[in-house]
Amino acid sequence: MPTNTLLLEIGTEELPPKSLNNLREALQQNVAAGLDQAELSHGRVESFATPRRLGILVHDLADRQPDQNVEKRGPAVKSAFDDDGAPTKALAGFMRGCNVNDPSQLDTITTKKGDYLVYRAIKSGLDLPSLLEGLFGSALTGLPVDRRMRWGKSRLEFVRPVQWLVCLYGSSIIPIQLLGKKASNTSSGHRFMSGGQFEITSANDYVELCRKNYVLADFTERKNLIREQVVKLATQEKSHLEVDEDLLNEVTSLVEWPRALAGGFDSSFLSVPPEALVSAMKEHQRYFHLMDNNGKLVPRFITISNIESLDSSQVVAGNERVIRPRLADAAFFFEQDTRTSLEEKFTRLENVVFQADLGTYAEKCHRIASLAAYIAVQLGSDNESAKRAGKLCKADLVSDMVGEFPDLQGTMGSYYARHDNEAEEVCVAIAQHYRPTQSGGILPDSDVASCVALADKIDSLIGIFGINQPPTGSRDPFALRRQSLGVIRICVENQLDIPLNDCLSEACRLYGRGFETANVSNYIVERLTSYYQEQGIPGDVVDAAINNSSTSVNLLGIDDVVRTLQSFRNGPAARSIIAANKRVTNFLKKAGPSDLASSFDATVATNEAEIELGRALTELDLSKSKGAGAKLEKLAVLQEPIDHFFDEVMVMAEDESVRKNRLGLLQKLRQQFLEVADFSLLQ
Amino acid sequence: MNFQNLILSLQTFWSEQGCVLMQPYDMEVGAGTFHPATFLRAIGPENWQAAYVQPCRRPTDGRYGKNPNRYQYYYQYQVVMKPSPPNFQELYLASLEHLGIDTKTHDIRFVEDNWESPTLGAWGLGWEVWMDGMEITQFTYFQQVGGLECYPVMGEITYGLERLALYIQGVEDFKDLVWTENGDKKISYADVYHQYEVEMSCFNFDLADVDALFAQFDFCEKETTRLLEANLPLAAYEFVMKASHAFNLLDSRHAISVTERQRFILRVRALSRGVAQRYFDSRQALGFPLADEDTRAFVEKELKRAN
Repeated sequence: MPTNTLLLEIGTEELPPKSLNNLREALQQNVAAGLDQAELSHGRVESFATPRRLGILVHDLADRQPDQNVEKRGPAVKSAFDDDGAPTKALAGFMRGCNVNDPSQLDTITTKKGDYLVYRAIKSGLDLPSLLEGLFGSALTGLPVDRRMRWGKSRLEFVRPVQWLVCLYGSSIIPIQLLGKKASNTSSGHRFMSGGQFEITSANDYVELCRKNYVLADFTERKNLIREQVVKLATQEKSHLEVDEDLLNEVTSLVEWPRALAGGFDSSFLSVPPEALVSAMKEHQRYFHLMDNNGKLVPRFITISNIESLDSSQVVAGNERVIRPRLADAAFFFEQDTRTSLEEKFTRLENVVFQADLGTYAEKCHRIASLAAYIAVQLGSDNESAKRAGKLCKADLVSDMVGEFPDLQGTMGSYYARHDNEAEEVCVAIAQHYRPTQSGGILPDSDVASCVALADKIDSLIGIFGINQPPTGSRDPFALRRQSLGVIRICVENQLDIPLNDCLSEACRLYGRGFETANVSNYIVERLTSYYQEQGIPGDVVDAAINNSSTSVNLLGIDDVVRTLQSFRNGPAARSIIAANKRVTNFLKKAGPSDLASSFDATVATNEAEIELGRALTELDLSKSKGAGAKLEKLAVLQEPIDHFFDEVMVMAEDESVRKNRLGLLQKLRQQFLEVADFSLLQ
Repeated sequence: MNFQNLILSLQTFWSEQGCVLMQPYDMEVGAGTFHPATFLRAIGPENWQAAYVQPCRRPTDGRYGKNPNRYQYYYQYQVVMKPSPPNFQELYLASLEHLGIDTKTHDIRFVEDNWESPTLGAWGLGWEVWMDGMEITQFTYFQQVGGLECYPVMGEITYGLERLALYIQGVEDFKDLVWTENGDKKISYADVYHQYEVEMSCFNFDLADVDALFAQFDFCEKETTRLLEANLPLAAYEFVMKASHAFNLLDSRHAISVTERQRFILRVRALSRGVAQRYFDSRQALGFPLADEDTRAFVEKELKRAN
């Protein structure tokens, strides 16, 4: 079957940069899936995206579907004709269905059940012109678009208005119609650098013809080129630069022909907090900022233009002119904000709603303050600072700067706190209490900051669960999933030895509305599975470790057990403990309820192995051992007496008091195992 | 090119594209979009092309004349075309060239910036146009106005005249813009507006009478409702504009708390929606005189189907 390259290009007005790459990927997937479904054989599928086009190249595409042999079985020969040899109702119906006029067009097949009439034909595959319109149409309908739009008088909807459509197979135009446009071989080059429209002579030449017309159609090529240009410029500037991937993707989506240019701003602006300057440059202007060897901001930036300008000094001058008022605004906001103290800003939180049913941020902050102080006391940390930071941690929400740059919440608060001469501990805690802000993000690095971070998250969890709006699979407006993981990570990775349930109870008490801890406690514990899964620790280990702490959750304690079990599970001691635990559990399952007792009386014991195990158990006293590792070592000592016991002792003795006493011994043993973990859950 | 020639030049260009040249609306508005020639004409199936200068007041943007390009009072040049023509972007770029801007030298880009006006119950998709990184124009395809779906779609171009003039004249600060020359004497933007900018910043931030503004807002709200009942959408709309400006002033006085803010926005939106629906009905009663036959027929059919 002949094959060739297929090109589809949809020319549009500028597409939204943040979703451009997703659109490209989705279009590629949808088209590939469509081709497979249509049984059109093809090679590699490539996709292209610039602000003004989405493109697809399909290599080695067959020019039509393969022909298919069709075979339909009809009625049995004996019931196909009446006495006069005319077709019966059954046959007539079958022939209509097959679009056949004469029974002679049918074949006969012989089966075990007799002879049957059969319709045989070759259904010829459809060609590309008849298939592609529908195929591309549904690929486009299936694109993930937040908001589709209409334009002009058309009832059609797409991401942005459509300007042209190219569909070529080899060098022939496939005359399909999509999104109100008839396909041709005419595309458009760069808006200002090219001569406008150009003809695509062959699908294979697509990328090169685009390049000739100042369009780098390939997203990754463009992205790499920008990265290269930015790094090179930074070196020329003798500066450091961290290439922000999100920003890089965004600027890649804003240009067809990138040219990086460096500019500067007045160094007097460096007195404004650097985070605010970086936000002004990055969020508003999509500039890359530059730093010196010590990571301090320098008054230079890099911008990615979309043109090889006839005079790039004018482009630089223009960009320098834009950033000045942006930075002046940041300076203005900073100055305005520092006119009032955080304490005064705090009073304005009385007008800011946290959640309609849960009151204002002022109320929340009072609770955070108390809870943070409570946690600090548990940790033996500075509870006065925790209380102060808890109260002020959200006050920057009413500042002009955070109004303009929401990402700077917390960060600005700490600047304002420092300006108000708050203790350094307090300033740090305000800055860090939102941490971790993303999965894998950095944690608070002081105890006070950890206390405030925990208090904020626990307060949200208790409150939102309290009003019965727990997160669902698709809806989690308060990011409680992330907040729970945050609680886990702070406790475990910052090594905070605190009883979670007590903290949750305290949070409930502070709401004073009869909220309960159980759902939140369970929700946090459920998150442990995915937390450990990411670290390659399987679920059964986590389950075994959690079971032991159903009454009082201590995340750091659970972590100790999890890690101990994980390293222990493959050793020989593990196998014997697991086996022993299994035997014990099985015996206890078999025993009738009347036989169950939890006490063991050595004086009733008759067998020496029984007495020995009893003694070993009494001497065990796990509570004296710190840490899961030490406890496990002690349990391992039981291996011999246990083996000996099972070799020598008949547990289900005739005598009821002996039997009960032995089961009591096993029950005690099982309790000792459970002190560490539920070994029966290990697989 | 001085400031007033910039305006004259745009007037000529868009006049040649068949736009009705209108004058600024004689009331305080936050954007050219509030002018009835945009807000109301975006509603319903009727065709419309217009262009006009609109002075805009954004009390919170005042910087006492100290920020080089942020003022509480500035000029927009507004162009609306309905239905939006297929070469809308090209027409816009041609207007820049008409102003003498060299598109092979400057970095001109359409950067996604979708527009939403909660008070007008309106949203659209489009871009801010960047020239060498500076936003000089907003470009929007209206999708909904006053809670009503836009069909056909109105395209809107809003030039920031002062920012554009900065480029054309190669100066850094609004204050230094040349408004016009008289012989060898130059009249600057500062000569025309600086004192006003300083005084109005003081008024907006520190002196506007909060109690009177709250009372004014309530009055305008009542008046809008009364006029809508009297089936006078155009008259009612003027009070929506007044209410909106009172709200903006209260905002710059920090007189509205964050929670209250949302409530005020919803109050203005309810008024805008009322006006939009009444205006639509009144045009329908007239038979949508400016609509294309096929569009009118389509919309009438949709209306029947919905009832």
